[in-house]
Formats: sequence, C-alpha cells, structure tokens
Amino acid sequence: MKAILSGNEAIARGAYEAGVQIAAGYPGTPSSEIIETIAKEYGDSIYTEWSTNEKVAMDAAAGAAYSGERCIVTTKQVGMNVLSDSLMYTVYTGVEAGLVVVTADDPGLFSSQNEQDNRWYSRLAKIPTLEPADSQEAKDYLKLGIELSERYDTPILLRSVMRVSHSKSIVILDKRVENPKKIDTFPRSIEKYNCTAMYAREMHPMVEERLKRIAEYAERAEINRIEWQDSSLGIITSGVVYTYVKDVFPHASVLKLGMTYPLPRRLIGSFAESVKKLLVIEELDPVLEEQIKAMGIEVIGKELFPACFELLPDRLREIALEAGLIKDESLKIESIKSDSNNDLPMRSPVLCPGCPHRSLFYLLAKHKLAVAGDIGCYNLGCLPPFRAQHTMGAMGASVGVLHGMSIADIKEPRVCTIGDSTFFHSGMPPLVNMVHNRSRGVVIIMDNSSTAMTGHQDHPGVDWAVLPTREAEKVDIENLVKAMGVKMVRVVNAFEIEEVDKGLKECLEYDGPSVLITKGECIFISHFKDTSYLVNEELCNACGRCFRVGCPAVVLSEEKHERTGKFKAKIDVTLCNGCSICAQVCPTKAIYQPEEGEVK
Amino acid sequence: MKYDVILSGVGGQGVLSVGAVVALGAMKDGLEVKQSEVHGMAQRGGAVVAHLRISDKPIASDLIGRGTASVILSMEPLESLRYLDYLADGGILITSSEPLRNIPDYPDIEVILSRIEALPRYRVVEASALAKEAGSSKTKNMVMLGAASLHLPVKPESLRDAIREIFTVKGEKIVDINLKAFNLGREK
Repeated sequence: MKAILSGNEAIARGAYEAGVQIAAGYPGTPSSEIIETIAKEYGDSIYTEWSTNEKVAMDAAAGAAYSGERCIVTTKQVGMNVLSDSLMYTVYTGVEAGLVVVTADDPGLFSSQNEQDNRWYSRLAKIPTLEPADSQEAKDYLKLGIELSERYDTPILLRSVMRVSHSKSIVILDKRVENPKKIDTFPRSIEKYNCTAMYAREMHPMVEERLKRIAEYAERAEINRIEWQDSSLGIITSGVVYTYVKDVFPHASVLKLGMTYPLPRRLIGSFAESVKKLLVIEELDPVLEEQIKAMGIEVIGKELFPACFELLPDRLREIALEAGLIKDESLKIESIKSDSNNDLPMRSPVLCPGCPHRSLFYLLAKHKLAVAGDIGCYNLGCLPPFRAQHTMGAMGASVGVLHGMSIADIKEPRVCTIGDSTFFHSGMPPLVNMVHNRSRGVVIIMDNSSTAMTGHQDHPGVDWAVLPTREAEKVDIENLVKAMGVKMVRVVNAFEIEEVDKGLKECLEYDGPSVLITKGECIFISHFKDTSYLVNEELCNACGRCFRVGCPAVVLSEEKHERTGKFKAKIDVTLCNGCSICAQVCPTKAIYQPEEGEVK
Repeated sequence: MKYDVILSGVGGQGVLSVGAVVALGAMKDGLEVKQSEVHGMAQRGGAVVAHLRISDKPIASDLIGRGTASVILSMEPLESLRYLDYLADGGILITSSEPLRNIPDYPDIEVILSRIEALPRYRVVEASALAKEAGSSKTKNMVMLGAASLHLPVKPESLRDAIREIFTVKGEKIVDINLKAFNLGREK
C-alpha cells in the first residue's frame, strides 16, 4: 500500500512499523508532527507523551529503553541542547531495546532562534547518525535506526531538516513488527547503566571500539551508495541536499551518504580516486568536509557553498553556473537571480484575532517597560506595532535575564514574558533562583492553556494529553509559584485590559520577585467566537489607537478623516472573533458590537 | 511529462488542502508527486507557499526552480504576484480576485490586477461568489482548484476522489460542499 506522507508522518510510520512502544518529546517546529501523528494514527500501539522538556523526554526514553521497550525521542534542533546532557550518558550506557533520537534541524531559520547544525552532536556524543533525503527514506532510516541501535547497543541519531520533515512524497507502507526484547525485571547491570567515574572509565573505550565496528558497517551499508555517471565531477552529499544535487548536477557522479557518522573512509577514498574533481555539498557547517579533508583528501566545499542558509536548487544552480561546474544554455544566471517582485509588501505573522496576549503587549508598549522575552507566539510582541519584547534567546531564558537586569540594578522597572508551556519547560529553576536571591522584577506568565506556537500541544498546566483518550493531571501555576516562594502573585483575565493593567502596576510596585499570571485561552483551544465588532465611521476620528493592538481583523477603511486625511479603521468581519480588545482601547467608543444580524 | 505547480495564499485560506488534494489525485493517476510546504506561520495570517511537482518519472527535489513552474495557483491576488519569478515562459497564473487586506500597506487592488493582466496567460476567478453559491465561503480554495483543474495533468475524477477521501473525516456535508465548489470552479 502507498500513501502520501510528510517526512514527519513517515518517521511516525517508521516508528510504528519498527515496533516502537514509546515516543516522547517536546514540541518544536519542524519536529512536532512526529509525536502528533503517532498519537493520532498509532496511539493504540505506541505510548506517546509531550514531556515537560526535551531532557525529561530523553531520560524517560532512556529509562524505557533500559526496561526493554523500543523508544524514540523527538526534538527540534535547539532542543538537542536541552537533551544533550542526557544524550551523552545514553551513548556510554547503551540500551536493552532500540532507542532513536530524532532531531529536525531548521536550515534557513523558518522558525528558530539559530541555524545550528546538529551533525556536530554526532561527533560530540559519538552517536551514529542517519540522514534521510525524503519521506520514504525517513521511514526506512527510522526502522534501520532501531535495528542498528539494538545490534550495536547504542542510541542512534536520525537527523531530519525542515525540507524533509515538512515535504510530502509517496511512501510504501509495511506491517508492524513486534519488539522481541520484552523483559519483566529491570536490569541490575550497574557496571552498564551507572556512569559513575570508575564504571564510565570502562565505558569510554567500549564506545570508541563500537564506533570502529559501526564504521566498518558503514563501508558496506546500502544507504551509503555511489551513483556513477560522468567521472569528471564527483559530489559527496547527504540528506535533502542530495535531491537538489540530482536536479542541478544530472551528469555528476554522486556518493550519497545515508549514514553521516561514522564515515566510511575507504568508500570515500575510492570515490575520491575515481573522479577528477571532488565537491562536498552540505548545508550549514563543513561537518563532512572537515572530516574528509582530515583523511587527506582534496575537496571543494565551503569556499563555494556557503555555511549560511539553505542550499536550495536555484542557489546551487547559480553557484554552479558561476563556477563553471555546469553548462546550461537554457538558463541565464539573471533569470535565476531575478526577484522582480520584491516590491510587494510582506505579510508578517501576527497574533491571531482573539489572541489573549494582545492586551498585555498593548500595555507593555504603552508603558514603555523593559521586557525580557521568551519563546512562543508571544515573541510576536517584538514586532510592530508593539516592539515590546526586547530580548529572546532560549527557552526559559527570560526569567534568568530578568534576574540579571535586577542584579545589574538598571534604573527602570523591568518585566519578563514567558508562556505557560515555556515556564514548565525551563522557567521554574530561574524563578526559584530569583526568590532565593531576592531579585526584583515581574515575571509575567502568559497562560493560554496550550503550547500554542507549535500547534496547541498539551503541557503540565492542562488536564488533557496528546492522546485524547488518556486523562492528565493539571498542575496549577498559581499554587506552584506560591509554593516556590513567590509572595506577590496576581492572576488576571487577559481579555480585560484594565484588569491586566491594574495587576501589572501592583506587581511593578512590589519590592521583590512577583508573578503576574494573565489567563486567557488560546483561540484555538477555546474556539471563542462572538459577534464581530464594527466601526462607527462617524465616531471614528482616525487616531489609530486600535491599530496598536496589532489585530489582523482591524484594517484600514477606504474612508479618510476629513481634517487629518488619515484612514479610518474598519473591522474585517470574517476575521474578527469578537474579543473586544480593540473596542476597549478606542477613545471615542467608535468600535461597537452590533446586535446579531446587523453584520452584513 | 513534468508539471510544476506553485500554490500560494495567506494562512487560513486552505492552500495546503489544495496541495493535498492535487497530490493525492496525482497518486491515484499513477503519477509521481512531491510537495514542499512551509509550516509554522500558516495559521497566523502570514504568506503561505507550497511547491507541488507532478511527473510520470521519479522526481528528485520537491522544489521548483525559478522560471520553470507550469502554473501559479493563488488564493489571493497579491500573493499570486509574490512568486511570479517561478513561472515559466508560457506558464499560466490563476488567482482569486478578492484581496485579503490584513496588512496596512496593501497596494491598490487595481494596480495588482493590472500587473496580472499584463501577463501573457492568466485567469482571475471570482471565487468568493462561487464559494458562497457552493454553500460556504471557506470553499474558495476548492473553487480555485476547480478552475485550475482544466490545466492540471490529473484526471478531474481523481481530484474529486481525493476531495472525498481528504474531507470525509469532516462529514458528508462538507464533502458535498467542497465537491460543489470544485465543480463550480471548473465549470464557470
């Protein structure tokens, strides 16, 4: 049977077919759909959870793999930094049953704070690494990963990128196999599973020896293959870039590496000897290139193919034409480069109509507060019209940065913004630190009852789980922060601007760490929809204040104000969810909610 | 045979659903298909684009090169112009006529339409009216697909089957409305 699957759906399918029993992760674009697909399609066969963060997921998977269950852990590229501490020890200990860590990297920074290349983790952690190029390979490599994990007693890294995870192609489906590794009692192999220094000393040489055996496997593995064509140009590549290379260099010989760590030295050496000119084409860092150069092989890499951003076919073609690597009479460099429509206005993402975050950012901008920010939809608060999230770097960082602003004693009031899911992920330790060290500042927890940015996943603050049939325990944030020692806590309704403003002011006045919890469900959780608001054009004085709430439903009218010549406001009734925030800020009360039926 | 489609629109307009229907329809016809999407901002009023490649031979990359797309199919006129560089000589631009003005600097619609009308091959569809006629303004995307289906190398019956298969989870009524929208777009 065949199906059209995205790379992430194919990884989920691979987990199902490989007999995986446990899948854990923390949501993050472009990785989130793996766990979601497993819960939706294979929830009867595989236990699935959104863990509080990636490290928690990794430890849980380690514990389950020690207990004889096949596991996968999913993360986006920056989540690897969070789980890496635990990745390091699992490579030392090995597993009872297969364990695959899936990282979905984000070359091109579509929705990430950096462009880190997680193939460095392969070498750092000494973890064998597979890189699929499309959905079929994504499924096949996940299954191979489980097999290799058990054969060589090591976790395996499967590295996807956005263009694999979110691209769709036809996949051949197979049946599920059952894990034969079932064990009844937890192994008491202290020398294997306890990384105390004296045992870890024994483990490290075993890891090195294991890598040699896997490198031997890599020499003959089918997933490392040479596609012979013209021998005047040879290209070593991997992952999705392989598909670009096939389009741009149809006549070149290609060594496609399905396993990018450890590398097959002899295969690479013989390929290099058989071609006149050798290129290494890889996105981001020269991870393959530097290893191949260290083998004493001459290659052209980063001097032609830059380390920043994706190497999409058009860009590759442009580089190849300019370097004289290809000749294509039908293509002119100008036509590849041309971007004649860059005069069109951009459509930047904005907080949705009915978003609970809108009121707070309107106020933070109005009061011109210094704001340390965090990761979530609310980082859109850094964009116009708010420009009110002045830092953002990593999950949970806002609270620690706020503490830093406090101990630096800057002479103005300061706050930080952090979402509910991000607070559970890594905002709790820095808040405890603020309490213990008597910091001053307002930690604003924007509680919208979901991990919204990545697609509305659950977190410990809600009573539901990724699998709808499984009940979950809700952890109350207000009680939690009080128990952590915060003495000043205010909880406000995010949809009432005056109430938010009052709570904010009370917290700002408090001499110590305070927490303001703005409660309001994400529109995709509440599905709130009330009668759309309208603008009375006679009352509208075109002051533009309603535009400062940054709602896509508040648009420019065709009508201009007679005196100022400024456009008046209008509300797009198809977008408006009736949350009333714009009406609450309108000074002339021109924005009103009509009776049902008045909306045309 | 190779046929490359650029799908564009604004988050929430159902761009990716159109891609899913065409891809499934093509698979039903025994063709190879690859589709690239950019997620993340799709629900938040941002620009959405998908590349869809259909061929009777294996397809390497799912991305379409500039100047090589057979068709640009857009749910929104401004968005139809954003990817114009991808259109091949002889390719056709098909767009809905109604602007989605959720940005303050949205250009004059007449200027946009005149740029579209300057192209050698284009089609502007009054999709909103047809979608309402079908029973829901949310089916504008299927009206647009219906209009484009006259140019796609996929059998219309395969596209209808794909619509049935994809929307069946939403109930029979939604399937019927979407099929009606597709047929209206194809016929009018």
